[in-house]
This record gives sequence, C-alpha cells and structure tokens, in this order.
Amino acid sequence: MLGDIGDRRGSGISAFALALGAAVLVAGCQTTGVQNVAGTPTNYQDTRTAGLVRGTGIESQDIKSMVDKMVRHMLANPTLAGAAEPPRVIVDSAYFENQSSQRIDKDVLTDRLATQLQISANGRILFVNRERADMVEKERALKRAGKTDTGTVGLTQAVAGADYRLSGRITSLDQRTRSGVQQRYMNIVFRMTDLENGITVWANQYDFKKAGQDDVVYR
Amino acid sequence: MNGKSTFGTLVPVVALLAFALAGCQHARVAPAPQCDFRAIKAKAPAQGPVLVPLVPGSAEAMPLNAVNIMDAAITNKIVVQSTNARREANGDVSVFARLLNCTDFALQLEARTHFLDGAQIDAEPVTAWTRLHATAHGFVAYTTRSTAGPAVESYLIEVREGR
Repeated sequence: MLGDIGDRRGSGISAFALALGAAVLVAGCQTTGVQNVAGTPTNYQDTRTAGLVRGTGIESQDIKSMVDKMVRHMLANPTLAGAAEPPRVIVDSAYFENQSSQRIDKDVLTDRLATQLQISANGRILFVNRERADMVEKERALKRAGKTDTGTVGLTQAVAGADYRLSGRITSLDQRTRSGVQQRYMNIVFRMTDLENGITVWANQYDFKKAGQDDVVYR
Repeated sequence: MNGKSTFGTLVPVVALLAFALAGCQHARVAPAPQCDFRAIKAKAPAQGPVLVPLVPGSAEAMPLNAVNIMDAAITNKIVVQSTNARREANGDVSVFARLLNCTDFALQLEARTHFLDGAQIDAEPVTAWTRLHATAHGFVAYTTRSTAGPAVESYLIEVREGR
C-alpha cells in the first residue's frame, strides 16, 4: 500500500520534472537566437570612435567629426556652394597654423577637409591645387615646347586663379595637477577668405575639452 | 505597572507617526520634467516610412524620419522630445532632434544621421558622430544637414552614449 503511494508519488515527480524540462526546452526554442556577445578581437579600430589609446588631444574621431561639420556648413553657404558659376577655392595647410600644445600633422586635417569637401560639393565648388603648382607648370612647359601634344582639353592662357582660400588655427589651453591629471581645451578655427578683397566669407569652429590621467604621447 | 509600560510603548509609536506625517508634509519638488518610460515601451506602431527586413519578421520594422536610441546604456535615460526636418532652398535637408536627459546626472551622447533616397538607399555617407552634452533634466538639441540635395527623401537619426 505504502509502496503504491511511493510509486505514485515517484511517477508524479517524474511527470512534473518531464513537464518542466519540456517547458524549459520550449522556452529555449522561443528565444530570438541572437548571439549577443562581443565580436572577434581585432587590432583595427573604428576611426569614428575613441580607440584603445585615449589622450587629451585631437584624435581620429575629432577629425572626422570636425571635417563633417565644416563640410556640411560650407555647402550650406550660398557664397561658396550656391553661386551660378562654381567658385574656385584653395584648401590646403599653407595658411593653417598649429599653435596648440599638441604635436599634430595639420595635413591630416586639411587633406581630409579638401577631399571630403570635393566629394560632397560634387561640382558646386572647383578646387585649385596650388600645393602642386610646379607639377602643373612642368606639364604646361612640355606642351608649349611641343614635346607633348595639348591633351584633350586644349591650352589655357594661364593656370586657374582662385576666389577663396582656406586658413585656420589650432589653439589650446592646458591644465595639469600635481598628481598628473591633465586637462586640455582645444579650439580649431576654419576660415574661407576672398582672395581679391580679403573678406572672410565663411568661418566655423570646433572645440572640445578632455581630461585624463594617462600622459598619451602624440607623434 | 501595565499602564506605565503601555505609555512607554505608545510614546515612540506616536513620535514615529508624527515624524512620518511631517515627512509627508515636506513639499520636496522634484526637478522637472520627470520621465515615464512605460509610455515609450507601449509605443504605437510606426506611422510613415519604415525600413523592413528582407525576411519578414526577422527584425522589427525601423521607422524612418525618427530617432533611434540604439544604446541599451541610455534607452531608459533619455527621451526624444521632438524630431523634425526641413527642405532647404538648395534641396538639402536639415534635420533636428531635441532630447531630454531624464536622469539627475549630466550625460554625454553622440548622434549621427543616415540620409536616404526614395529607394531607401543611403544618398550620402552617414554623418560623423556629433557629441552632445546633456545636463541633468535638461534638453539638448542635435541638428545636421545633408549635402546630397533633392535626392534625400528620408532620414534616420541614431543616438548612443558618448564614448
């Protein structure tokens, strides 16, 4: 009699365990199946986001953000991007100064700005390459000496003159505690100046303040 | 003896009640605005254009012309107060979003925008992340502008915590 009760209890518990197992299994099948874990580690970093080494200076994400901001703002300027005849501009680092405490190759900024602006302007602005004026002069001399033909677009009386030119400045304000915590405010100013009358037709700036314990070296 | 004991027990109880009542009467004003995320969780189906997955049901339809808070770290910290867009004279589209920091702490956010054409293809590369500093219980505005002219038909703003 007692044995029967025990058997019945045993079978009841087994049935309950089975049902529980089945429920867990079904619940498992009902999950979304998303493998929500981090990806394979790699030494490539997202250039749009702060990377593994974070300092208090200008980094790739700052360059991308500031260039994006400048390009969009320049293209919204009717003088630069809304003229019936596309204006000619010079965008290089010749008049872009770094007065900040950070060592930085300013070409990394102006090169990206020039390229991104040219891509996005899509013909609304024409870009004069004054940085490589000697390259143009050499080819012009060869054509005029008859050593090469005139190419497909023919000869021009002179190389293109520019209407506007980029200038700018990187400045900084540094603070450091005795314990080694460093704080840096950086301000980067961009200007586009009329090369005939000297009027600044466009300007914008990008600034940030960063603080950190680690003394990151920028090269 | 019993009377004294009862009195001895009553005093602290009365004192506690008086203290509790005094607490209830303390008119502490919470910083405004306060947020209630239950309303956001019970969101209505998207109106207007959406991005749908290739396999039906494999992902939620993503409303366009909207803000997507893509970071679990801030989904219960910020509220989208409004988003809007305007077609500029040259055909570019300016987009705008105003976000509310519901917490008692300053937050750093990052926002970027996808501009899509009529076929829901990116009309131009996604914008760079723009860092936003949202003060506690304060609004922060995000704005950007497309460069692809009239090709842009819709937009999607993404927001994550600042890194």
